[in-house]
Amino acid sequence: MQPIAGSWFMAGQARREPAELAVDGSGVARVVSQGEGRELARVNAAELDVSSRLGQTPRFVRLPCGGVLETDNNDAVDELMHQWQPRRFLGWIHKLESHLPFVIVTALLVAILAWASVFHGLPAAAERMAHALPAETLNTISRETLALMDRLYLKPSELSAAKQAELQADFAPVLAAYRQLPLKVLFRQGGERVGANAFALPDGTMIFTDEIVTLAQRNEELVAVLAHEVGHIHHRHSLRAMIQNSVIGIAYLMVVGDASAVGDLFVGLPVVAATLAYSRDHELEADRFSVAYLDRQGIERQAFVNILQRMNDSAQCRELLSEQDGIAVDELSESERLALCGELLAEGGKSKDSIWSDYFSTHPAMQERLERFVEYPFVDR
Amino acid sequence: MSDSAIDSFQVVYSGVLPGFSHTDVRTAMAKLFKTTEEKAERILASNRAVIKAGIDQAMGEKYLEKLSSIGIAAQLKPEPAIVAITSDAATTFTAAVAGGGGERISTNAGAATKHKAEEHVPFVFTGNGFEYFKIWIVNILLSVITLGIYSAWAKVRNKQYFYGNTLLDGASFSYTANPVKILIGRIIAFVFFVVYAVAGELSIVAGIIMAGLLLVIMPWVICKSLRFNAHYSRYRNVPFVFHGRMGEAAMAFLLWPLLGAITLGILMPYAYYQQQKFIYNNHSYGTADFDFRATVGAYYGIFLLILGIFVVGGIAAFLAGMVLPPLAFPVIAAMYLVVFAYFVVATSNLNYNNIHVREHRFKARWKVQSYFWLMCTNTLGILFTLGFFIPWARVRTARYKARHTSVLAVGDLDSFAAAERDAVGPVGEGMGDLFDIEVGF
Repeated sequence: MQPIAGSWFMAGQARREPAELAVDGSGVARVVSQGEGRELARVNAAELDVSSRLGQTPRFVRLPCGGVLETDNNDAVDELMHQWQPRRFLGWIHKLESHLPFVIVTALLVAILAWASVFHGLPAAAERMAHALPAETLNTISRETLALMDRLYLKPSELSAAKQAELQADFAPVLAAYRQLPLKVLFRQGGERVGANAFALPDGTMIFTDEIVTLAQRNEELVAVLAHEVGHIHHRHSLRAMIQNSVIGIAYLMVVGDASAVGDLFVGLPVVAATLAYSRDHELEADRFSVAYLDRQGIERQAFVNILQRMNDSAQCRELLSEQDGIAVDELSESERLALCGELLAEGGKSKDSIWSDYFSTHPAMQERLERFVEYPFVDR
Repeated sequence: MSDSAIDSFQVVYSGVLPGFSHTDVRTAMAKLFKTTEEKAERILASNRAVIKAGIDQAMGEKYLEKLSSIGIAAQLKPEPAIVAITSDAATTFTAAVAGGGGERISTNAGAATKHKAEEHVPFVFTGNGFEYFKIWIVNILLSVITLGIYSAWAKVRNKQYFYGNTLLDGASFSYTANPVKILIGRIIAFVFFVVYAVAGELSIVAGIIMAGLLLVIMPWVICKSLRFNAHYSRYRNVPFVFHGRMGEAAMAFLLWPLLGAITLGILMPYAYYQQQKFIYNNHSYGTADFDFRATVGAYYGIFLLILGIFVVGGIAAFLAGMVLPPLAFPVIAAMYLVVFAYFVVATSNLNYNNIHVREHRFKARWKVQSYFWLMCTNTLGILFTLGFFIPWARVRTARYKARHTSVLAVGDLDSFAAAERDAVGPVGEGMGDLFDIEVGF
């Protein structure tokens, strides 16, 4: 075979010497200096440690003595390996990497796999895992979360005992319908930060704020919201979200690797997008749960749509008022605020500013979600 | 600068960069210098022709950059004592096939001490986007079907691709880490991450305890991975060494940032400076220690300018928002992009330009404008191809870095030697060191 030309470096020495590597018929590999033909090293060809082929990058042939021959004659090195180290020859990865049809199929496969695992595989696996875990694991975090929120944001409810009892009575049938879940409802004052809202903790505790109770025109609306929250608990959404978000974060990190090598600002964007998609899926799942309950009980689906729309308007109105000078938003009651907003929008039609703020604060996703809510097929079981 | 005494330099041709075709280079060269292809060919065929003489160093560096963009490798050398065979300095180009003019400064001590001149040795990146794409996509597929196990091998192949394609003075870098060690480190990091995530979800108290633990082991992890990475990075068969200690890492990455936060950011640039110093000063190439000479003032300069951009950008966004509210968002986005590009460019230049290894040093000439453009095009490419552009983006970034960085070498790079304990072949390497693993991803 032809000698392989390259640069020779002795063990631990940066000094470069042009050299050639040749293997004779008996398998003895010799490194000789170019030109003079002085022997620099000699070893059995089976003892050569050759770096694997990677594109057109140079190869490093390492000798037991610590010397290295760096060469860009990849084909000759492959031939040498093939002849003298056929078992260690792991050239198949390079063959895959340089075989165009295989690469095209791989690219398609990766795209399909990524899509399928992000949108189907992972959610399905997370659902199974979430249901396999004992419910008690979630109790500690729920207790601590509520304690923290009570200290930071929430205040004791100012609803009268009679009002609370009335609502609990209206909620009782829902809780009774899902006896296997440890459900209970608490009331709190949401204040500035939380406002009109209802949320569920993984252990089955649901919190309704005074503001959402005030916002509701009929108790049925609150029952519809309650059914939605029960849906989150029933489907173990918080646990599933935790599993999905951690797994996708790690997997993405492993695939993309070092972000700084790309010089790309939005490297983390796909993970954020996936997380948002998951949370949207969970909302829709909880919506369907609510639809099923409402249909079975013969409650109008519109109840849910109405209160959500009102919550949306209320949030939007707060935003509109906070942009106006001289209005202390928090000192007004909900109805005073809505009245003021109505006046503002009526007077002078819609100002340029308010059109834009409408555009940004009305998420189209909400509109779509409510339309879907009404259109789900009727559940009669 | 140490060589300010020499104000007359010449640009000496040393070859066509890999990845460029000879004829393309000849055409581009003829066009650049407004001359005929025949004359260009004479330069290309020559061994060490002087392309330009009688210029100062700054101008010389501009020449090198321009030449490397059309595929020509050249070096900047001080004007030799004997008059170079150049003529007509007014026209941009004189082909003087150098006899004595461009001789390489010889290795023997007598000749080297005569000038002690710095020679520009550019980094050259020879990788190509499509070739890397093929490696990248196979890496991903194999990583997925082996449930992540192959990702350790993939990391080595990725890294080796970029190392192997980075040439300095004709020799490439190599990454010799054993994937099994990376795999072990990844499994440890994975288990820790899962415990961390689960603890945080199950109890806020447990989450805080885990976060505290993470802070405590962070200096250890930083030292470990820097050491691992240096130890398995080689150039000309001589490995790099990292010898930073955990105590120093804790100071640089915990104490100083904490003080920075307490002082409302006033000490933050100082903390950042301490981190860079910790990283660079603790590296060696073989037995030759890196000497990091940046001063903290320069970092304050960078942070102050960024603060300035934020103030100006904030005012601009506010004014734009007054005119038309949605305009504020693009103004803010543009401001962040500029700040990001400026930060990367300014800190890279500052860091590289202050690394001295014996009598040699680095020279970085990254530019905000061109890096900004690179970053924007990479980002758009990745967004519009749903990530398939990532390999090209990486190659483009690596090429940018190589094109704008070089080594100012005094004499040749032959005299470096590995530290005693590293002067062993791959067989003896890292044997018996149980914790010789790279922790993290």
